[in-house]
Amino acid sequence: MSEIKVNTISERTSANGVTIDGVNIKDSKLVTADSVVTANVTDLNITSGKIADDAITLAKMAPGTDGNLITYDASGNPAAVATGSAGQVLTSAGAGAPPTFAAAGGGAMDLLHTATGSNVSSIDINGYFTSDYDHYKLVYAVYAATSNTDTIVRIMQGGSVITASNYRYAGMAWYYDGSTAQVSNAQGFGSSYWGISSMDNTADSQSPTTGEMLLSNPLSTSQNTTFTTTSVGYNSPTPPSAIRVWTYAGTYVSTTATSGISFLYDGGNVNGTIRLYGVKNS
Amino acid sequence: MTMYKLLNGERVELTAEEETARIAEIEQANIRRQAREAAKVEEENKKASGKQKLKDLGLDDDEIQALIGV
Repeated sequence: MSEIKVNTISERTSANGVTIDGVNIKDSKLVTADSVVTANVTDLNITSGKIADDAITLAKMAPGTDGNLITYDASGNPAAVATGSAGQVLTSAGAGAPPTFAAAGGGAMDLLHTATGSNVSSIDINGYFTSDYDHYKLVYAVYAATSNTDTIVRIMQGGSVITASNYRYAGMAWYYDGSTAQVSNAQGFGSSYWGISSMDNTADSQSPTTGEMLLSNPLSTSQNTTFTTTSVGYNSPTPPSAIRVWTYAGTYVSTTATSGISFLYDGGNVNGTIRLYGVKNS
Repeated sequence: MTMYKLLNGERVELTAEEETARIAEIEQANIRRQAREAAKVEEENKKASGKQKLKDLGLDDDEIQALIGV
């Protein structure tokens, strides 16, 4: 075995550098392809400056859990956002914390119930009022099974429809048949229901009485349950001969909580759909 | 004929008591409607007779329209 001990090995010609067992060194660099293998690199010693921009492909990244998202934790280190449940949305946790998947906020109102009735005596919605809401919106499109009837509403207490004479309401109506316009009013004070449309509703399924009711404080035992409605409807016969617009408001005088609401026609059965929304208190 | 209501999306048969009350209510509504229709006819008749009396006094249709809107 021979050993060479020198301080400097210089190239013989500037074009070739120096070759040692097939590894060529030239101008202070290893120039032989694939001459540096993984084992020659010290562990944990590749700095970010050694990696070119846009060089890390998805395939180069370590596998993770399906559905996770990459984020940064409070220390600024990469972290995974755990996979949420179906329908959840990515929700910020504010500064200093990674986001998480959570249920969507849902806006200012929640849909609590949808009722669709076909030729029934009434459409009743009961048991959906909670302390989460002081006010409720009912959106309706209903028509009578027989013409010349009025759309009316009753409250429910303890699950039972109330027919006591504690209903008070007043309303205005606008009628127009293409040539004649009329304004009228209707009211009840000590009635057994709330009116929300005046006389002569059509039974035409294409022309339902459509509108919305704001129902307030149904669960209160210190304030009366009140309502306001705005509706469009149509005059009998079928097809309708005139359009009608109604605005009504009223109250039920009682300190007993209202548990539900009942839509019906005074002179016959009802058809249609009513949706109950809760208006969030906060 | 059996009568039904829709309660929280379920079609529920009315009790005998509810059905009796409902039938009575429909009958009352029919009576009110007939009264309304009779009153409407009477009102129309009075409008027509009043208009005719104004015409008999010499007012033309435009003058009557301006005065009472019919």
